[in-house]
Amino acid sequence: MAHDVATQVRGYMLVFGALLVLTLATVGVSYLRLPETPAVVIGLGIALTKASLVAMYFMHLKGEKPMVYWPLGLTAFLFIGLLVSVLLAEGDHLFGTQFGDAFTRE
Amino acid sequence: MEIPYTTDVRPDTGLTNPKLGIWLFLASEVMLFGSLFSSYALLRSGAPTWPVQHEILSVPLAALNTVVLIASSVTMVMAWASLAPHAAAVRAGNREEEAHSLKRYRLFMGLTLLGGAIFLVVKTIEYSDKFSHHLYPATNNFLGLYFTLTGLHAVHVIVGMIVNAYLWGPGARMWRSEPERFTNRIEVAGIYWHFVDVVWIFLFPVLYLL
Amino acid sequence: MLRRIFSTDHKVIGLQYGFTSLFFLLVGFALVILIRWQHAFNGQPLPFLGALLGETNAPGGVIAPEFYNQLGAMHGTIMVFLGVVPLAFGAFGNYIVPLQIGAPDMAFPRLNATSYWLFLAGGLVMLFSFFVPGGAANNGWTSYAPLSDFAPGHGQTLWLFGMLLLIFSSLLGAMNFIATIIQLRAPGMTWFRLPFFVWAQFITAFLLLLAFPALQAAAVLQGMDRLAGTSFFLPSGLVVTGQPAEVAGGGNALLWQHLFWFLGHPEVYVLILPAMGIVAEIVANNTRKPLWGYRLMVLSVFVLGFLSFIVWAHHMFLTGMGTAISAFFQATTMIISIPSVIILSSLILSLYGGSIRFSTPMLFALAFMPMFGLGGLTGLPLGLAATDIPLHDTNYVVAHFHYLVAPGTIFALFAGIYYWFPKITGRMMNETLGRIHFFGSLVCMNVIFLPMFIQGLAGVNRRLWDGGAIYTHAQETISLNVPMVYAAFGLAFFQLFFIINLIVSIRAGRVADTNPWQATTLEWAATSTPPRAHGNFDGPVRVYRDPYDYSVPGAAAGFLPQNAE
Repeated sequence: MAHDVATQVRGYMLVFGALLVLTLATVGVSYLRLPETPAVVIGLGIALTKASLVAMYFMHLKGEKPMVYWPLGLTAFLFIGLLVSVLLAEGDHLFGTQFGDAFTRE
Repeated sequence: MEIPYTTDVRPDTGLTNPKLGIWLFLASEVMLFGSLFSSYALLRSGAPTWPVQHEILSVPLAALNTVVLIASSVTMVMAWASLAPHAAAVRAGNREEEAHSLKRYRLFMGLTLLGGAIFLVVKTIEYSDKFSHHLYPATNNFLGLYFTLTGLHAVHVIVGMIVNAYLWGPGARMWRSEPERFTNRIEVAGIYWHFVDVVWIFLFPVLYLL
Repeated sequence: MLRRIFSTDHKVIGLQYGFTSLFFLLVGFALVILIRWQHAFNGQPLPFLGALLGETNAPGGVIAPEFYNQLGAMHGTIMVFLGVVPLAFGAFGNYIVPLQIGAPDMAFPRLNATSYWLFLAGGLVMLFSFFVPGGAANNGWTSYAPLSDFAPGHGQTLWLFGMLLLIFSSLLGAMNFIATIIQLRAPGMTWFRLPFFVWAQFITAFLLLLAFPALQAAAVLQGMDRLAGTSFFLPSGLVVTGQPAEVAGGGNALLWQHLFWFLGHPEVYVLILPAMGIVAEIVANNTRKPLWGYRLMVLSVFVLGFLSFIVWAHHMFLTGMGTAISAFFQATTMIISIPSVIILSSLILSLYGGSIRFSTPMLFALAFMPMFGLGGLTGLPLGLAATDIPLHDTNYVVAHFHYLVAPGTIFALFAGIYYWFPKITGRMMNETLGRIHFFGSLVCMNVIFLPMFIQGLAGVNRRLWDGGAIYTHAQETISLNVPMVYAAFGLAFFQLFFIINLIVSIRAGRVADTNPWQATTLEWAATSTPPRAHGNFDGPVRVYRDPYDYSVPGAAAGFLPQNAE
């Protein structure tokens, strides 16, 4: 039992270390002042990695039961759906269109 | 009258009620913050110009806050880990193990509370700095989003701290009377606290760095 | 005493929700009678009430346009959020679901009580808003920006605050329902032995859990716009009553619409799903046979729930969103009619070969089917952008959704009250009064809402203070408002039969035994009447059967309860 705890605690410390490194990385990358698209992709990518580490290991999501995974999966799908739909419907400036279709170019 | 599966897991789902419950609640929270992030994405992508975020906000302060919150997540899960291996012994009446583990738990939970407090203090410093420079939510949409998102996040931090403070203090009496149930409570409170951390993990790059 | 008021027993909480929501339904109904009157007798002083309403709301006794707008916005808000959903989900769900799955209570009883009190608080805030300077919110139940951002007075702000309380209440409730249904089913109560009512509530809970937060977010953002001067929903260059708006600008009014309707569409399925559940229970019971296509219905309700999240922009076809996105939402909207039709068809097919007992609950359940059918079919032209163009924002839309909610959901809720009344009180409601209530309501509702389709097709807009009197194109159909208001008075009159029946039967109704409808589901089979205050069941419950084992050859009473071995 004590051995299990020690392993678990060691795991938490490793995750903590990884999170610190990733935090440093994301701040560091921001100083590179990359153009918008790579900056967003890298920034959100690092954030997603950090969030996944917290979720998997601190929140014990790794090895959690299907009855938890299904609602979360549905939630993720709906969130992405909302984000994408709103941008496609209203993001004229994002797609370089104006009052027109998201998929056709003037 | 006992509600089944409050502490024991239901065999076919493998879950206790509170464990399932907190994840369902967090699903709704993901939709809440997700809607706000979607609003940010729309408003920023639709804006002809957008302020240079890191020139208005303090990246070093926020980076500090990020580290503080992550650390408090670590101490929170350590608080749970201080209790989990000893619950059976406490139930069997081992007072020595009970006292020792309670002390360790209180140490880690106390550190978690400290982390939350530091986070809020830094946030207060940030906000007052903005106000003293006449930067308000009404100034532009970026600041509006900044104050709204971090403000709502701070509300969640405060709620978490209230719960954690209760569990540090009077709530800890349950460690003696129902150790497994108390351990599960700390795990569930932890899951909420980690979620608050996760939201900040996204807020930090989105509002400060990009 | 305090312990009883703040009870954590799901049955008490269910009744608290029930009485509170019935009260709010009355309030919402009263508001709309004023609207109907104003449309029929536009510009004339309101008798008796005109003086009571005061000079601001009704100068010279004539309903002022600003007050009319309050009536409209609050009628919708109160009916949907304070009336129908709390009754369908909060009251029926709370009382019946734990009983039908064999559970001692909800998974989180204290959270359950908290949900009710948050609901009551939200409702009181909404009612209170009528009495602040400027009156209640008057920007439609949909509170579109930028109008709602700028609406003077505190009414709209109170609406936002009230909504935050109501949403939080619903989220906690939804979480409770899902956890309860997953975790607290009695041994032997497998997923496909659940009564359809429970399935319906289960899906409804998911809709509430995942859709409401979007409106929460929107309410927070609009609150900031109104109170902190932000411009989340305010584009640059806005001019309000001749003056340029002194805001930073850069916002997007359509963002509000997307966030609102992301909730708004699942919300209408929240309105209908519990109703379908109630009708299903009553149909199976009163035809003495299992539901036709039970598994198909379960599958359909899953698909319906899922699809309901991806159709919302069909409320926004006229906002200039572009043909690709529009096509996507038209497609999903068309597709969502499939599971709806499957469920309705299954209910209708369940009647075939049945031994139909025309009890009052069954009358309402039977009427639900064609009414829901009419409401649903009239939605089809709205779901296609091309035909939505002339119909959007007209009375056609109002008729469409009222058919679904009024002779649809509300009839199902009446059915449920007549049906479960004996379980809750140990007495039967009076059948004669019930029949009068039924026939009167059915006729009046149709006289109110059917002409609205005609008006809508003629191009008469909704939310018009004068009912369209000022427009030439409305002149042909405007006279329909007169029979409509008399039908509205009639509808109010026939509710008296229900209210009196309800109140009198609690004390003096014919005493019922434990299972007067000879039903199979657990709430009838395994509990006393009313069910035990704590724990619901006298001993451990075990389920052996499907939910609708009616007309089983050789069975003692012609049916087998779910817990019969």
